Amino acid sequence: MSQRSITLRRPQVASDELAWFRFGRIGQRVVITNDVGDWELLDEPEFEDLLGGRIDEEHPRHAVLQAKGFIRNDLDVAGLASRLRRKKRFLGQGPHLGIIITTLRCNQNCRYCHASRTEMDRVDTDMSLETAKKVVDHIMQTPSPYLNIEFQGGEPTVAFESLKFIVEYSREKNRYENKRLEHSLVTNMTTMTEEMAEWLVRNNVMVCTSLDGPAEVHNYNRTWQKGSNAYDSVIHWIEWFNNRYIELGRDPRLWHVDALMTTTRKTIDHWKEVIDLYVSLGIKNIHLRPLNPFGFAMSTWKRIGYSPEEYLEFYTNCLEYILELNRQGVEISEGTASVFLMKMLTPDDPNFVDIRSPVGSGTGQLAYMYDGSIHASDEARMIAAMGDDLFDLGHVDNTTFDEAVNHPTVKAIAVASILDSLPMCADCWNAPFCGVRPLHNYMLQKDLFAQRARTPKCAEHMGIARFLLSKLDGDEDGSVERIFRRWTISRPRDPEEGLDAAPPVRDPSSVESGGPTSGHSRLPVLE
Amino acid sequence: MADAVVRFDRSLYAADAVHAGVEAFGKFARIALSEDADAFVLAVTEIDPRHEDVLVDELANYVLAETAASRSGGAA
Repeated sequence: MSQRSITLRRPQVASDELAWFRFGRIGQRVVITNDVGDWELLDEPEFEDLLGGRIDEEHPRHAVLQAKGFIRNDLDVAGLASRLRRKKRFLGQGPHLGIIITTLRCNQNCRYCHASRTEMDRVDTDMSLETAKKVVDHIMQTPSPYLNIEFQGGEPTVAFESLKFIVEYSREKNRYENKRLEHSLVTNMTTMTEEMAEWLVRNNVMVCTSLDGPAEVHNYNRTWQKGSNAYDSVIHWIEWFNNRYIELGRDPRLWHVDALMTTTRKTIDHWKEVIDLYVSLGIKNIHLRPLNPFGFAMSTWKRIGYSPEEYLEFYTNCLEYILELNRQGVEISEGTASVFLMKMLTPDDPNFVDIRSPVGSGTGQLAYMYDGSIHASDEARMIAAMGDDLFDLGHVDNTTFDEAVNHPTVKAIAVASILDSLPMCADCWNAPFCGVRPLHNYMLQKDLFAQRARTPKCAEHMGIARFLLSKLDGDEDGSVERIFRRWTISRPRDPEEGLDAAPPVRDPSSVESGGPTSGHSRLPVLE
Repeated sequence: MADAVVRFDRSLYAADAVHAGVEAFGKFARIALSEDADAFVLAVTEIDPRHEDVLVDELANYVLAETAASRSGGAA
């Protein structure tokens, strides 16, 4: 057995020569970060030189450490304040994501269903048009200049009339609100018809679907009715939509079906096939989402779940492979990595509601159930569907928008997720990039704050940030950074693009039956 | 040979805190305390297998916390 030797010394710290920063270790290197998201990786002797005030103007690291605000001498405080204001500008804008659950009915029976879907005969879990109108009136009061209305379920296409009404009514209302208004649909594609699809394309409703991998994985995770093949259906419709956008002359980089996958134990065994499938379908972004502790996943965890370490091994295998594909000229990025990289490499925060400080629940998003009840987030409504109303904010019949977003529960969630105020998180080098999840904490430890360092999310976010910074650190020729920077680019879509083109020729082989959905399309949003 | 050797620099760590650490963790490992000019040196052997992954780190944390507490005049 090798002997472990630890020497604990008092470091020499020239505190009057240092600006404020956090630090930690990544392998043999020391990472330092500050509030505006600047970071640098140092050798241990360089770090000691920094702490000891020995980084003078002759030092090879002086220029970069000075420019990034790690040295107090000539510190541009006003410039840092301005950059911090830009990073945090989402704070004063209010919710930009309105999730509407038009029905809980779903014809699939996914092993991990986070939404606690209902059977197809439960029409009592459909949203009425009267409620839909009240929901739109409610969410459009958000002061945010950008609003994405996202349809979730259940399977939203089984209540397509409600969806159409919400799109048309919100667009009409927006003639006076003048927001940048977008709509997105999270669908399993199994009840899609050409009539629906054409309407969605013509009305700029972006489509996001779940694709868990090759048929063996997808059909295992997302059980459909006996004798049906969920995989064939989703592949058919991804290709249909993507071809239709091209027929209309739209830029496929901006107009395409987004696909999400939920990682189960089965996925981990097939990680390379999953990525190859996404590439073969021309999908530009894969989001390697882990299982969440909500809904049916809580009861099936033993069969389909995994440890944080297993997930991270899977994630890093995938990311290494995705990087290799990029080097070969294939355009594909990973969703969570893109969120972190935008914080690490650009002056902006992507305002991704799940990885934010504070988390977006109530301050970045609201979720509306089919019955008009208001919830702090998508996850909050999932918890409500499990019988726990702790995160309910009221009802569109009797709760104003102001009352909802100023609800004590929203404030509690914010307090529990402002990293600067959380012990350990406040001092963690990953704080400028990370975000904690109070609702996850609540589900796992019955505590909004929880012992965060012991949560799967902490292991996941630390592992991902370490991996990304390590890759950038060893990037001698700058090729990794060039790839990573591409992943941070987000361009707005022109809603008029291609809409004057002719209607499509009907494809007689189209699939016109289908099923449900789960998962969500909260992809990075630029403000 | 010890499983781990931890050197607590005298410029930072309080003697009472190191002794408190030896006492608190002594039931989970054999801990031999020696001193040299610069440091208190703990040689840790026979670590309880149930705690071998964390014991040395927790011992170091404990001594640091006791040192901080003794300097602020309160309990850790």
